[in-house]
Amino acid sequence: MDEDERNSLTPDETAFAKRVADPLRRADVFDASFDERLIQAVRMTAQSGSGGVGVRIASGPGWWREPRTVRVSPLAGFGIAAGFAALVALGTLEVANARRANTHSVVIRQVRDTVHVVRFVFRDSNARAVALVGDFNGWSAEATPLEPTGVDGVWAVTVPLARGRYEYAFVSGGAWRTDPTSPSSRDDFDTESSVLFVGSTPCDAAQSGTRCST
Amino acid sequence: MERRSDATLVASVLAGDTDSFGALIRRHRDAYTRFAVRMLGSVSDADDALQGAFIRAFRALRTCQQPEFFRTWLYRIVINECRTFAAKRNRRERRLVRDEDALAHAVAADPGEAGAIEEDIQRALLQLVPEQRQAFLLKFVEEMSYEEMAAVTGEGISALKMRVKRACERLRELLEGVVHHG
Repeated sequence: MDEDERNSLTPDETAFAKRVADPLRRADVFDASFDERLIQAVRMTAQSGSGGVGVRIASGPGWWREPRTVRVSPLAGFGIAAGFAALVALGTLEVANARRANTHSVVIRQVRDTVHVVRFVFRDSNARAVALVGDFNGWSAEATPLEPTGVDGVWAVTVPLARGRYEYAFVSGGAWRTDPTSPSSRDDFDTESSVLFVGSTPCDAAQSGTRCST
Repeated sequence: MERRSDATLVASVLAGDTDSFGALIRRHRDAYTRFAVRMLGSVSDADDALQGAFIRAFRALRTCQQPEFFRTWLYRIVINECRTFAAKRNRRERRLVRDEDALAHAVAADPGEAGAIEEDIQRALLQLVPEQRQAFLLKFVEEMSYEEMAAVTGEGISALKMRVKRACERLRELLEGVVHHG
């Protein structure tokens, strides 16, 4: 019997499962304000200019050569321009103190005018599996797993990102972990995430209302 | 009644009509609501998770490369958001629904036999590992085919079948005497 046959349900099992599922199909009704709250949040998102930021993280051929359009507020635009100038002057930008135990780091290297290769590093000697979640991968805990580097407790993954502001976190052992060495932000549901500026500096965070860690 | 297709509504939203996004959500919300409540075991948690999922979907709408399959695309975001939401809250406190207020919201208000059975089923469901619970809900509550499940979860069909099988076996153990087997 092959694997598919072993995992097939018998008619009796299927009938039981349907009896279990039937009561669960009752339509649950949210608070009547759900729709109104959602539309208000959508309108605020659209007005803040963060709706469909304009940076498309695409995969596939030609992505590395396609130009990207970033829609930002005038203040953020000035900050990004200043940050880019600093990035060009510095060559590479390294964020976080990699010498401290159990801390994480992000290293950004500019490969093209529009593309940066970002390396996320997570340190925890007790970690058994680590995933990177963020708005660049739909906050999927399965999309971007980190790989062990061979150094005890050190996990890493490299992600190509266009210029812009990104929120991210690490998920390890079912726990949500932010990067204590990066700026942070809290969303409408008071969930804290780390903030990454690709192509600008964390000092510009003050203008966007994001807390800067020292 | 909104008659425009999902693809038309998506195009309208991308052109700046945020109200069209509301029409999209209203069209598909009930299925997502049911899934999120059963997956997270709490109406209030499902409310929070879905608000987050729909906002993320709005922000990422340009990445929906096949708007005619918007439902599947949004389902994937909802599933990821529920998973991430559960990873952030304390799982030990919520795995078994002990909070009476949460239980009252998660199951039927009817205190009769039907409500009690639903409570037992929901409790049993929350004792499944998340991957098995998700597979069971998509297969038997949302009545998806394995191909649809593969599209929204990104998992292989063989793996999904195994999770459904394990979920059914575990539910049978937990619901002995509650749901008749034959």
